[in-house]
Amino acid sequence: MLDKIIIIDYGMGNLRSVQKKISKIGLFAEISDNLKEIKSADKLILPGVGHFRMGVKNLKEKKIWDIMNEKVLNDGTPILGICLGMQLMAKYSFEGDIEGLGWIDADILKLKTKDELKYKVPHMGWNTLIFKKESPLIQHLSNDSMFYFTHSFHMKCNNLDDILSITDYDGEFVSAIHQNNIFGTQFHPEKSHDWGEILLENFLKTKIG
Amino acid sequence: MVKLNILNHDKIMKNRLCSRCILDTTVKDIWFDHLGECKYCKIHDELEQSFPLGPDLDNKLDKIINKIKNSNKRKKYDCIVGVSGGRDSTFTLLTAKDLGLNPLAVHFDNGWNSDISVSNIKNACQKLDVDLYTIVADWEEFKDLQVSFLKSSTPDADIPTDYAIYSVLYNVANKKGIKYILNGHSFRTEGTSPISWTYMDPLYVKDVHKKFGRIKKNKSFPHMTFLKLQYYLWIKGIRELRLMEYIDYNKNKVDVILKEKLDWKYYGGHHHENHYTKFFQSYYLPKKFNIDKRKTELSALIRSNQIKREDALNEINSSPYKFDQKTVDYAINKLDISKNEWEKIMSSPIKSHNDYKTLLPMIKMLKFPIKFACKMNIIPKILYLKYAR
Repeated sequence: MLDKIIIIDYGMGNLRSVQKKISKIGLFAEISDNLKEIKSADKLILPGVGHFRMGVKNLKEKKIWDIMNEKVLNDGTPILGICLGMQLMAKYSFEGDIEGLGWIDADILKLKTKDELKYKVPHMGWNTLIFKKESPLIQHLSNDSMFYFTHSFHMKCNNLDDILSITDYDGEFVSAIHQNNIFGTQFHPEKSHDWGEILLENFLKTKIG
Repeated sequence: MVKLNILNHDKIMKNRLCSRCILDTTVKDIWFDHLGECKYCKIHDELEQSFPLGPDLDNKLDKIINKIKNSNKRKKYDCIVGVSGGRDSTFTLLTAKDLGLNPLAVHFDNGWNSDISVSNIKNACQKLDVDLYTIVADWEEFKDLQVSFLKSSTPDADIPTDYAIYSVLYNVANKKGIKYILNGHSFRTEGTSPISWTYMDPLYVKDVHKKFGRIKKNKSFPHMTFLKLQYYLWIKGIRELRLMEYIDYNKNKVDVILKEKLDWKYYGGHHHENHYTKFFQSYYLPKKFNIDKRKTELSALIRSNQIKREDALNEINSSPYKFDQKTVDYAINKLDISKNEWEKIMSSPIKSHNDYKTLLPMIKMLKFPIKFACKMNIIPKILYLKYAR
């Protein structure tokens, strides 16, 4: 049986590009906001582009919030948060001053660089990862693999063990996290060429979490 | 930016080591699977699957030898063996002869031959009664290309020789109407050089030479364009074969055989039969790029059960790659590089083939045709595994 992969639709963009990238590795992912569908998923993907407050509001309005908590915390369903999707897993965000899902002991802060003229915020473009620990998510990825970023907030983890990789942008920030069945990337694997494909494949094809 | 206090460097997995061989993250393109085994172990496994040792391999070898023999019944030679005087190529020549082939030995003299390599080639050809065809590089041109690659600041500074050998072998095969080129590479003893350590293609060589060379037109240098290669491969049907991959090739046994049969002498390190390569591998690569080529060779020997991993790790950790200052001075002097220039070369920021024009984008696009060509044994499978995938 193939895993049932659901891309959670909560009105926050980039769903199709994720779906397309997944079809490229020969798998099918369904985009859905149907609670029943989400409940029966084997793997969840929480994408997202936009404002943190909007993300929280939409998830709550669509009642996906509680289902996700149940799936991820009780059932241990593997979930991959992408960009805003990863940030939503934090306890608190200063983008909108509001609480997130709180799975990861972390805060979301505005990205600040020392040299603001040279290193502009939002951080947009290609960058590499510096891995902090072993994880099935990073198998087949080398230190010179490049990923596409576009964000102006970043996650500050209070528990350093949650950090999977950091990235250097005139100072460093957390670019990926992994805690048990919870994965998150600040970058967009769906826009990251072959490397993104490998990462998605790692999440979707291996038994993890 | 908020201080994250995570720059605790021993917590960062900067230096990861493969759990099976001894390659580590000094190989920029390396990755690991869930068992911690690296990309090049996986490539080894795939090659091992294509060339499994055992009775089946002997059958395959017989078939290939017959094909080679039948390819040129009327002519004097049925195959070409490129020779350098080193272990791999000398043993390939010996094996070809033992298997009843009529090889023509071809040697490309890049001006850096050691006395040992010259005598090794001479002895082997005399004792085996094989004709030797030597192509001598135009020194000024060749030097210019070598210096260009040193100035390019990439670890590919020994590419001019590899590239020239490659095209010379094809050119001679074409000229003499020979269909098979045998080479001494073996994934079991030599291993695969990581793509971030060694990369070669015609466009890359041209681009680097254009940017750093003093001589604008290389008249006598044996260039191999992509189209010319296609002509040789598909129209002329010239095939390159890695004879050693059909044979249980054991390094230590081979040394004894070569000494006994061909008066062959060892020269103290892999590829050290050539002065430039010796300088390049023992000094330039480790000092500037932190690249230790012993790692690829030892890793290959670990994978093919010829040495133990602990012993290999010991060897690497106990001593850095030994270099001989005389060789270094000789090389810099021979290349007419001034002290200042040399310091500039050693201190300029490290680059890679990605910083220059290469055929890599095209190769990636031709992924499937290349895979097909490998399957048909038109080109060695390693080319697909290393470049296209």
